[in-house]
Amino acid sequence: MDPLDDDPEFLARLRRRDEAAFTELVRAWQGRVFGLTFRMLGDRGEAEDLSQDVFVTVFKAIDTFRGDSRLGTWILRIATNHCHNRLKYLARRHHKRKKDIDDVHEAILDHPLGQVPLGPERALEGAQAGALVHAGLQQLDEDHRVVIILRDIEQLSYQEIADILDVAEGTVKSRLFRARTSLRDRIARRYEP
Amino acid sequence: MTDVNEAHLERFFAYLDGELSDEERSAFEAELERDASLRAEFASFRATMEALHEAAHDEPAPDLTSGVQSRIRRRSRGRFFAAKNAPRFPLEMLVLLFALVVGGIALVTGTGPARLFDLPAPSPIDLPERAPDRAPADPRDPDGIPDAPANAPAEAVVPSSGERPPTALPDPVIDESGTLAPHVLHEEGQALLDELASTPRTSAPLGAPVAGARRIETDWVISTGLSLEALETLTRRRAGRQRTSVHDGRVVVEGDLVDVRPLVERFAELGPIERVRVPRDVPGLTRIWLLPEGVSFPSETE
Repeated sequence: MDPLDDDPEFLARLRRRDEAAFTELVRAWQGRVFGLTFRMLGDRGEAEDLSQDVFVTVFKAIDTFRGDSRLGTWILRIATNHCHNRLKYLARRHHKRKKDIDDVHEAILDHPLGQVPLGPERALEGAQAGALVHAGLQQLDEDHRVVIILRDIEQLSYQEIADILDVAEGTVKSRLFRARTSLRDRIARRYEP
Repeated sequence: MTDVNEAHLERFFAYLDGELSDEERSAFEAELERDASLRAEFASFRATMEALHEAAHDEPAPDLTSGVQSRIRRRSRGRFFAAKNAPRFPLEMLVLLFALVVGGIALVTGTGPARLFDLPAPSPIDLPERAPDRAPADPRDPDGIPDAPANAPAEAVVPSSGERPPTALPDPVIDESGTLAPHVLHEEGQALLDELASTPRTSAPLGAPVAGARRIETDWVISTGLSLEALETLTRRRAGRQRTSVHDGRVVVEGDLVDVRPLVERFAELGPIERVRVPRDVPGLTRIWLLPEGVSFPSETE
């Protein structure tokens, strides 16, 4: 996590709504918050809009942060909750658009390496690894997607993920197991000769 | 040749996560050496995991920080992240001038300054009453950030529904509705809001008729410089379709007394606020009148 996490003076400045401190916080965390929202939503514009909302919520709710968890964990928890709600909104309001996005992901998985009988380990060595993983993630269930992002991309501990998702550590592990297996299978299916 | 089962997969992940002891790791590596199919399967998982680990973080747009600052500035009405180079001197001078004028009038007329802001007398006007099956009050926060539900942990800021927060809507300043007033509360409006904040909330049941008598309730009137069409669009976006209606060329937002303050705040930036008292048969209900350009609050004769 971030060194700002453990600085009580920094937290005190945030609680005083010190604008410089808050700007510092945004700059320190915007990459990770955006990374999470982008991978969860699969859409850059939505992710940037939502990331801004996440920080507004942090600014507004900083007084409710008691320090039981790390500040960074708390921020990612807010981001995760925002993602969940935005996904529900998008599913309800923009079903067609979601379908379009899914079609794009299918297209990414199909092209161009899918036409070549490479094994997944070879395919993932290339420059398109990021796109393939991103597309594969979008096809996972939301519960699986978030846990694999937090663990394998953000590299949080099981305990931190359990705190963020408000589930037991064992649940995190079992979801992660299924998520990894599912992601690997989705990618591997594209490369079966 | 080994059929890869769940136990194997668990060991794959434990190995990749570095969770095996030295002894377990050595045993696992020896097994991989012996079994080609297990080795191939493991290579496939390792490739996926490494791609995940190495997935480059996509960078957000460079203006994300300024976007956050802008949202906070807008939603706090300039209390935070205000433009540092905004000229403060003229505003302070205006306030001082205003105070001098009020004081001067009070001295000349012998009237206390407080009397100058007395509310107008009740004006008997007929308003359409609320339908009995009206939708429940909008639980959303006035600034668009939903509060945590009652069963959420204290630190979990969990939006209360899947609905998109209203703040995700375009900034009204850049909305198609045209030029709006600056995001500054008029002094009178701020005073009224402060007063309202200190007023005890009503416990009257909503929608219950008052037998035999009409009550006098407070409505809010905001004079905007917008066209009716633009105002209606903006209002529906901010207050919701169920709350908003149009009466005789004026946009009306209905609200419960218990949540009128956040409702008024949503529109306070659009223009000067006045408070009027009107007779009504339903307690616990208030209305916000949003007047388009050139339209006034309905008179007695309308």
